[in-house]
Amino acid sequence: MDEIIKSYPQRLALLLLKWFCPGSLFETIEGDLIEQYEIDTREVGERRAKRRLIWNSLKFFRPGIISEYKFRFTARKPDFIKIRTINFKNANNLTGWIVFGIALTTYSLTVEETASFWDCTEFIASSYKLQVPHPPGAPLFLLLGRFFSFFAFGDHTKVAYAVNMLSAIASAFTILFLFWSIVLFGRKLIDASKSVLLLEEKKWLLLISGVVGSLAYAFSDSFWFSAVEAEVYAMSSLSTAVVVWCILKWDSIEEESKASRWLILIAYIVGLSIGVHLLNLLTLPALALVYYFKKFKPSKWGILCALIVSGVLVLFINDLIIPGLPTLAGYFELFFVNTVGLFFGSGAIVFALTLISVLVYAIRITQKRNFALLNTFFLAFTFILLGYGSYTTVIIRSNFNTPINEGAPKDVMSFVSYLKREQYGSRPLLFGPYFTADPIGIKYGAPTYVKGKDRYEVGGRRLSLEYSRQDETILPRAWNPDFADDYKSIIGLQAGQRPNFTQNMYYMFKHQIGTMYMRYLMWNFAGRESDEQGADWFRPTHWFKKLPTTMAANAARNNYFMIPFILGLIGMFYQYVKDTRNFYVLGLLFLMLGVAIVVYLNSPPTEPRERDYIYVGSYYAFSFWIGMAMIAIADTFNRTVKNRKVLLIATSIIGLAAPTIMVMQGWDDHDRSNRFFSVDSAANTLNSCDPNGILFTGGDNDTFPLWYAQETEDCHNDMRVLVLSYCNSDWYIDQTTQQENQSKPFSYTVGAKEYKRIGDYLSYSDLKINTIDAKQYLELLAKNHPGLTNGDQKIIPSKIITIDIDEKQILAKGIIPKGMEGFLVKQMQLKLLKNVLEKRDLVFLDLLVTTNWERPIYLNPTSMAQLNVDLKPYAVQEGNVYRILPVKNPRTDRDYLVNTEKGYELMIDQFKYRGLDDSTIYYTNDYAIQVLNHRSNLNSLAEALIDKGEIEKASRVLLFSLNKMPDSTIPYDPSSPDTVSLLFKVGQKQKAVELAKVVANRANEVASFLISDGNTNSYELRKNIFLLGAMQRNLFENGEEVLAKNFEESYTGLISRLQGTNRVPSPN
Amino acid sequence: MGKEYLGELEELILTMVGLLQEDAYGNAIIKEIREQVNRNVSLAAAHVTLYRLEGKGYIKSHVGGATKTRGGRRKRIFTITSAGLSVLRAMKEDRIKLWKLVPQLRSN
Repeated sequence: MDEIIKSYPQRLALLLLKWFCPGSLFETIEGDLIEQYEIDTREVGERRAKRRLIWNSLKFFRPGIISEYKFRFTARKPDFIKIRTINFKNANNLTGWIVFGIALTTYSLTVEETASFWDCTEFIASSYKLQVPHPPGAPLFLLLGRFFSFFAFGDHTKVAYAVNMLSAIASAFTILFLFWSIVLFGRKLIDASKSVLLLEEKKWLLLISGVVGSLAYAFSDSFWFSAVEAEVYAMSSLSTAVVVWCILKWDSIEEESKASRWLILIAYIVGLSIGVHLLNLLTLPALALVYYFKKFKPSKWGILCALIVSGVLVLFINDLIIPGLPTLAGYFELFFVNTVGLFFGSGAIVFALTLISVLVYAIRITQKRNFALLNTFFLAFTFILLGYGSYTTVIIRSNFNTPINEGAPKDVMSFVSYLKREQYGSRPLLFGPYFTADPIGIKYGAPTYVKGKDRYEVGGRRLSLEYSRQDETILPRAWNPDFADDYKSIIGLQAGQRPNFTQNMYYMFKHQIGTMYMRYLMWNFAGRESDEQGADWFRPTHWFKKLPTTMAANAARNNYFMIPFILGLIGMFYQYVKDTRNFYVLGLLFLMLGVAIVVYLNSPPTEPRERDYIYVGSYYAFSFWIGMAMIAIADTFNRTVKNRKVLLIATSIIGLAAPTIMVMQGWDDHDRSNRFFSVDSAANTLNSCDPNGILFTGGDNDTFPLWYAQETEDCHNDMRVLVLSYCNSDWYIDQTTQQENQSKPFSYTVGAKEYKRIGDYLSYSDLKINTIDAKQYLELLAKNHPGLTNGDQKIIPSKIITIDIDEKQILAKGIIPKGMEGFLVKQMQLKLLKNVLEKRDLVFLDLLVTTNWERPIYLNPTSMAQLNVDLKPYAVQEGNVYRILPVKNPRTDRDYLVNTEKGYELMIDQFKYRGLDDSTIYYTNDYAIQVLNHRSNLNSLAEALIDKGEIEKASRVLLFSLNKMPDSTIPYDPSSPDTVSLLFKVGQKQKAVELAKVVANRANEVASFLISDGNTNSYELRKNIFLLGAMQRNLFENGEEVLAKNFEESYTGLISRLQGTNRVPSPN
Repeated sequence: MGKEYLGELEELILTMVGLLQEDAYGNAIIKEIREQVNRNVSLAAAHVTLYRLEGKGYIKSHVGGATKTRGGRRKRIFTITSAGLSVLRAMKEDRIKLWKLVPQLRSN
């Protein structure tokens, strides 16, 4: 067409035609169009002929061309043609959409209405204002989340719900694609099994296996969990499901050039999925196998080669494209800025232009020379990059200094370290030390660069510890010294004993693969015991066991009677026997998205939460087999059961039993309706603070909900939430010197620039100085005083840091709570808790001194515990937080001073406790922890009121606590013994006894069960024995001797039974 | 299904394929239709109908040799099959039969 049709729109029209038209038809159709154009040119002139050409081409965009005709070209095997009738196609589409509808309805009904715990709060806040969350980020997820947040229509309390719906919809689509994929794989299985069933029966079987498999996945524990909250795993599952479906489409198309388009689409989706989660890369080996089976005559060595090539491909994307290209851009940047002296960004621009030109050239030349494979490769590469392009938003948004700006990836250099998650450190994979190894030296790695005034400056060097060769091993699994005790108890080591390689492997199989993966797999397809951390899967030996009422009532106690699991095994076995090739494909998918991740993550013995959601990909693969069990069963019994109708109906009923039991068991513990306390507790914490305050938090998990409340719901955003653990990083200190929402910038005595010069630690050096004044110390540091330097490290010369207080000035400010004037001190004396001061402690001290009591400064329990200086004596509890004030707690039997007036107003009148008294709502342990905090804080308030003699008010506080957070929604917890003793003190004897009985009886029942169950070392057991003992003491002290005696007997009974097992738990 | 149903355009185009014999391809067919019955059929419609007829087995197609005109693109030549011929014949007979059953108008 080049020579005839010169003008662009006409060529475009023909190009478009080429895209949708079956390749075998294109040439002749194009010929007809050109001939018509020539005729028209003669008859009506060139201009009108051109217009007609466009019209004529566009008219080809119709069903007869784009869909139906291609059947005749793709059909391969006889059954293929027959099954691919229009009739089946419609049924397949319709059933798929019905399954989609079921999934979407389920997720819409059970979706969380506000922000969920953990990272969800951060993701929602980051989506809503397009901010920069923790590395490596999820820019595409955030962009889509932003789009979904528009559907809140300006009501910022609905934003979380809208973003959660992104997951719900993505998950429903995952189910749709899974359904279609099961049918496609099922068709291959039916073909391969040479089934004697009739065509109509096969069609029915295919549909039913799709329904059973996809619904089983839809209602599986972990997938459902991720489908109803704003995490990346739902979107990530969707991309997995789409690429698998795409490769099956590719597989079913004979014609090369058309099929290759599917490969390029896969590349684009893989690229896009990088902007959600890297998990998707792990599907590539399975896809490669599909490719290999279609293109080559399979052999053992061939399969091995295919796997190696695909492994290389994964590494190519994971290690070369994702971090490699930005790193390369970093080298360019360094060269052009530091060596040539050009402006910032010049290197990156040159790099981008070079890359684009190379790709354009490569695509053109391979097209001209007809190198189809290379051409496809370069196109795919380009499309991966296009998908990956969502990452540019990270740099763009970071440069707007968004309030959430983790790692501040503003330039190429910091972007690379953001991508590589350098903030988190790394875990050894192939080679490294055992946890018992002592480092013998420090290895300095490549320098890190930070943006200076007009060039990049060396910010520091990456450090790694060196170990002696004999302490190192290949595949170190027990490596993390922080968890030494846990490793020892799992492996069974004595103190000081080093694990050998067998024990190392034992740990991998027993703990990493067993507990941290197989247990989760069984949760999903066999059932789980409860939602307590560490809960086992539902073993058949436990099916009919009688449990204490509280344990039996756990909503997450789900027994599937192993039905889905057994079906999966049947399908797996049948596919292995009948259709071995495709069994390898699914098997690889199953392993790569399951065990391979386990091995890669090299997880330590304890994790802050259950990690089942990471492995959803392998449960996805397993669900194919659940579906295929239908074909297996029908095919196996078609001789025994003569009546085919009966056979098919019976098979369907057996199959549908799996998703049915899963949804029935799973509904109550996946239904997140009406829960708001994740957000209410965050708002309560923020509202505990005065305007313009600074609140220190410990780390991610106690901070993210506060960020959410501030950024999304505009709660108290004059407050500055400062993450203490981030304060060790220079980028974070830099950020605090900027305005953030309504919160004014900080100023420091040391100054943000000088902080960069101070290393991570300032160690104590004994210079025989008793105390050092904080202000002086900071000023000396600011001046880089040589007396405070030891080698290249700064020191702290005293173990007591003092802050002088101008009492008059403080009283004039009116910040001392009423009644605490007498506790005001002339000088605060802060003790060093260890022989070291971290940079973050310095930042805290600096703010305390420099703000000079103009801005209120607060700590929450976690940041209090992290500080290396003892602030406890100067902390005044106000609601959920501790305000630091120059008053000293005079009592040693009280942990903190309590501002009773403010506390009462906050906790009783202002705090929100939505839904905590509604026993129909399902609350997990995450909520129980927040409730425990609130109950304890109310207890402290009541105690302080009693100390002041305000008995009646204290009584009101305690009853309020019992009413707002009753046992029926969140069972009494370790705060209850205190509540009981306080109830006695305020004269609520009846309530106290009632509560004590409930707690003690329950504790006795549960502990007794756990001991008889052989569960003698669990946290649950320790907790319940503690509760029982504490209640007994309480009752005894308060004159309830009969009851106390009763519980004492139970207590000693438990202990003697435990001694029988030789395991007496420590009191805590 | 009993006798295959043939749409009006299908019938017209099938006839044209029969009529044009060795020279039945897209442009020629619509040109012939314009000349014979003065009706404009778009290329796309003609092609879709041709493929449908091919699917039903009434015509078959092969790709012709290279040409100098039409940008060197080859033609897809359609030829009528015996099934196609018999269905045309059957339809013609049906029509005639029906026509005979219609009460004829008398002239004046």
